[in-house]
Amino acid sequence: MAQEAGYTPLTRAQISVFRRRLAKYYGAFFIFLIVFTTVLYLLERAGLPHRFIGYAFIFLTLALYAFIGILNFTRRLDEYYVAGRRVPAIFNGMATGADWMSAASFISMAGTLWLLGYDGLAYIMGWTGGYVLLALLFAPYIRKFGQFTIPDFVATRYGERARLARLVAAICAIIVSFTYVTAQVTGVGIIMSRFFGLDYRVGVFVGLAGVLVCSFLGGMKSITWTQVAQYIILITAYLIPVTFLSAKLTGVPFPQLMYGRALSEITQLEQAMQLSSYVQPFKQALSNASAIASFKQIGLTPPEPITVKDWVGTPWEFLALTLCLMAGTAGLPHILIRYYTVPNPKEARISVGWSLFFIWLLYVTAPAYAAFSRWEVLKNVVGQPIASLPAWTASWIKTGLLTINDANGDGILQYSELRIVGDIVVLATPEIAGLPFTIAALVAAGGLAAALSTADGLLLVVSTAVAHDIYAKIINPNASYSRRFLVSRIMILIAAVLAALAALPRLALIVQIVAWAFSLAASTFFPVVLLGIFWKRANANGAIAGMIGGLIACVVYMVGNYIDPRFNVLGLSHLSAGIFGMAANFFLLIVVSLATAPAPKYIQDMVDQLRIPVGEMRLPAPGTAPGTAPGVAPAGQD
Amino acid sequence: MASTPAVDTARLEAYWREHWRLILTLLAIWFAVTYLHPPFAASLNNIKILTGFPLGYWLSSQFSITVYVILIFIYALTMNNVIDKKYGFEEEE
Repeated sequence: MAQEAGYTPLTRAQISVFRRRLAKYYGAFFIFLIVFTTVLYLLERAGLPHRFIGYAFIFLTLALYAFIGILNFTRRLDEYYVAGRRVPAIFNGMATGADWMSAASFISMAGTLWLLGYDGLAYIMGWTGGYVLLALLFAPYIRKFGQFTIPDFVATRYGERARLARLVAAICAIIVSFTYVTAQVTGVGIIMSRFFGLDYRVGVFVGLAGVLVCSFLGGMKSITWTQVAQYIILITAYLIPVTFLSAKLTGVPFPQLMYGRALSEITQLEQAMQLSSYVQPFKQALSNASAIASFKQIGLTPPEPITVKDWVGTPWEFLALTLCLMAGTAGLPHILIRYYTVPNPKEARISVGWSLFFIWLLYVTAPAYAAFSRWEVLKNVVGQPIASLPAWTASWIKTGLLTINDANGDGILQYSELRIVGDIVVLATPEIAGLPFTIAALVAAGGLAAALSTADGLLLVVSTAVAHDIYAKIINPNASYSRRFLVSRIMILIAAVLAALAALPRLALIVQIVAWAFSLAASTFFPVVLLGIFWKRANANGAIAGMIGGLIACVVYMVGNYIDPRFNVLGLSHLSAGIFGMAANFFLLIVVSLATAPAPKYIQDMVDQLRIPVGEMRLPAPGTAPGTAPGVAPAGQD
Repeated sequence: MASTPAVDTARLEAYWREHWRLILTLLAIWFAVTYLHPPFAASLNNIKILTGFPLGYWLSSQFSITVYVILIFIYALTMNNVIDKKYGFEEEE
């Protein structure tokens, strides 16, 4: 195991030298991005066709990711799985930001707010507030545990039944991450087809290639350093258009501050048109419309349409959804493993702060996108003669994202005659703001970066769950080091191809499962990891019962409510099913743990060690701990 | 980083109590900014602040999420620079 022993943790001085060098590289990269965009803009003015500008952005960014990927080729398992545990807090923060913000955050978040108004803010709060739980309760201890995967954590902490605990955890990780990665590949296909006029299927395979160049050669090491670059691209691309739009509409280039004016204008326009208010909370009725759409697409007989309005105006769904999203955020494996990559628990604490700061930049801006475009639509599109709509609408009607149907034939566009697909909010903003195509192409590159960076992180979770947790730890514990490596790489390839194939039919169900991923993570990992860290009495029987029971409770409510919304408690939708899964998991974990023998002494000592924020974990020697396969060192010492 | 040092029980327990005091305080603030205002969003929206934000909408879209960022940095800096130091949990250089 010569290569494996090569892991030498950095001292604080080394970390700071490394951090300065990285700052120089990425600073230069940011300047290059700005210069590159400016040059393309000048070429556009000189008459370069839009198609070439689009290709230039795709080519440049993919080439860059491939370059970073090749640069970080590795033969060391700790680099492949946890980037050598030498990622400084602030850069891990950026990487986590890119890992976290998917195609959905980048493109669909603002659209969701457009469509849901206040109720959409549950996503903004849930997807940021979860980081508080992650910082205070998880990240420093996950780092202290110092292993490779989340099933590693579960199997070591609940070591009395290591194999079963690992298997259940690995399967949960695969279900959650695989559907999520499929959605990212779909996102890449959509961006390619909308911006660059490529076929959706071609887009999917370009996306596949993009994901593989980042992760195949260097695993977590190359993923981390591409994610930092991807964060820089995506945040620049997100902030530029809306800043110009704010300057155009209000005269002040600070969208996050100025969209207050948009909100008050919207309120007045809505009152004049007698529309329901955008900022008014709790308007959503429960319906099974999405279930019907999914059933039809798969070819099953859809259920009867049902709408339940009894709970409109109550805050329960909003509060429950916020909690599910928060617990799910803290329990998602691809986010948790990012905190294995920092040098020590202290860096892990700071790193979550940076992660949320970088995510905050986008999330505090998304409602501004929604508000400005709603203002633009209510002021300049609705109520206008259909013959003289603003120029930007024409190109989006062609894509089908904007549908206009003059139902009463009066030649004037009423609000009810307008249908909008949420994605248009971010995609059309460059045009609404009157920006050149170069900026639109930059936005597309940003969306691509968001989708690819998330897909990379997820793909690594799927492939390590199979290659490390199931193959190397359960099926063949004596597998040689190079064999494990080979299986890892083959799994990345297989998982990526499967994700691309799963993305091809564009099932509505995939989008739905992604929305459910947070509830699933909240029902399985959240309680088991939380009590594993803080409650010595939690044992393996409790953890396994909790994970399985939580998963079942969550899925039962989810599916039941999805098909028939009359099946509900307090008007909670299938999106909030994690509440029930989490409750079941906590209950079973506590009751079964108390009813069976406490965890053995060596595990309780391990929990004590977790509390000491310095030094690497001292784990029991190979073979001495019951349940640890003979001949295999606990993962942290690989 | 060497392996975890041996620490006597009394010191570890005192450290752990102080750590709980900090995170329970921060979690109480987290809970308050997350759950106390949305139920009243409809009435809060009648108040306008800054450039015209309805207060209920602003609390969810900007205030709460900004408090989250601050809470994490307070936690990290207090743990790293105050509590860990007080109990002698510092990395050797």
